[in-house]
Amino acid sequence: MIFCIIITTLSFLLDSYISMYIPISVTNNNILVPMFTIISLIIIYPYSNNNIKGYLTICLIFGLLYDITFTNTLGLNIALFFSIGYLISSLDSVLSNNLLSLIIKMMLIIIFYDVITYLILLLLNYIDYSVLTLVIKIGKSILLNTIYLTSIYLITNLLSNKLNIKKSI
Amino acid sequence: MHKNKNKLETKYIILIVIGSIIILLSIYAYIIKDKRNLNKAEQILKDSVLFVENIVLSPFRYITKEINEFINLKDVYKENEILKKNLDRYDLIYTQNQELKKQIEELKEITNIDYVLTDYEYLNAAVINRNLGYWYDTITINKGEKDGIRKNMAVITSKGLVGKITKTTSFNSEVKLITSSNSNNRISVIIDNNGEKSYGILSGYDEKENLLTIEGISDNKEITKDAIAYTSGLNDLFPSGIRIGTVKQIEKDNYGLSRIVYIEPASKLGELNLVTVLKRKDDK
Repeated sequence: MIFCIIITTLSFLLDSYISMYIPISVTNNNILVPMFTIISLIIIYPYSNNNIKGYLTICLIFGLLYDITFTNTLGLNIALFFSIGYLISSLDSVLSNNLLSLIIKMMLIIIFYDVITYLILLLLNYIDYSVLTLVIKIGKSILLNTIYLTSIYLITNLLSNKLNIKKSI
Repeated sequence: MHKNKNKLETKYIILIVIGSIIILLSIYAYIIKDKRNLNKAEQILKDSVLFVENIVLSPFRYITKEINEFINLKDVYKENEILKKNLDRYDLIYTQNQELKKQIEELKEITNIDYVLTDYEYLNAAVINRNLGYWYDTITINKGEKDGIRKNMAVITSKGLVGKITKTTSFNSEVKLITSSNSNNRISVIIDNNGEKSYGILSGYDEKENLLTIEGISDNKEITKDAIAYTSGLNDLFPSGIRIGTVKQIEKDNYGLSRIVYIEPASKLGELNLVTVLKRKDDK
């Protein structure tokens, strides 16, 4: 579990660091939108070795940190991160943990997170962006996060082999 | 009988799910309001996380800053030449400014007015976080209530308006950028077309054109391209005279009664590192 916490914490910090150099918002035309903390939840699941309770606790804690530090929407990301954790654990029985399956999981998770956030904020009249903006955002998210997922997958594989950390296949 | 019982159970489940969604949405509606103040627990947690994050990331930020400074070194000579040229004008503007300040003070004494809309104090701050939520259009700065920052204060750069303070903790504050599409983010604006002034409301951001939109401008005054838009200081807590941007497009609204003006923001909102918070002198 410590390995899982370290990976998620580093991704959380990297999210914050990258945000200073890649302006993330609808109003900036950059093609990269990082969601590293969420991606790390996909990566760490096999290392939780079916300790679902511990894994979902990590999801809840980082959801809370995300809410408090980045969005000030206390509760929204807690619920979303918990749902993402549950979704990842459910997808585990359908998809294996090779790189291709992880990329498919990542796409599903990004679409789930973005659509739910967009719908809630739209319903509450917080934003009035078009559906096209949402589609563009999902596209942007997938691009950078696929690179991050691939890199962190290879790094964690290497580390787990060297440090003899158990991983469910 | 068994089938009817199942149907009844399904109905109850649907009702419970719908009820839960409505309750959750109502709670979120309250939580995401800009008017909501962060509670003490949220403030302490946010300050603590940002403090730890700042310590961990400061070596990386320092290295990045040094690299950027080295890259920008080639522009220093050019910038220095421009500054030298402007230095002569600076003395003249400074003297004029002092004279105008004196005149304003004298006029205040004569008319018994305590403050004017252009009275404000400056407070510099560094950007420590950009919004990670794509939709929120916010940044976090390293100055908070302890430094005298309060909600709704205007935030600017040397180029122009950036946004306003929406949330504060003891040591940090959240700034909502002017590009936010949130309906609470309305600012009263003047468009100055060679001395002819038109009033309007900064109402949002056109993500297709990448321009800010100003609505409610009457048809009786001419507005041309490159006219300057700045804050009016009316109906909100912003001081007057802060530059917002320049006019790029003018269109009629759907009903043909007023115009929608599209302006390009003066500040580069994607490249904010240092900002200034303006405190109106009448803010106690």
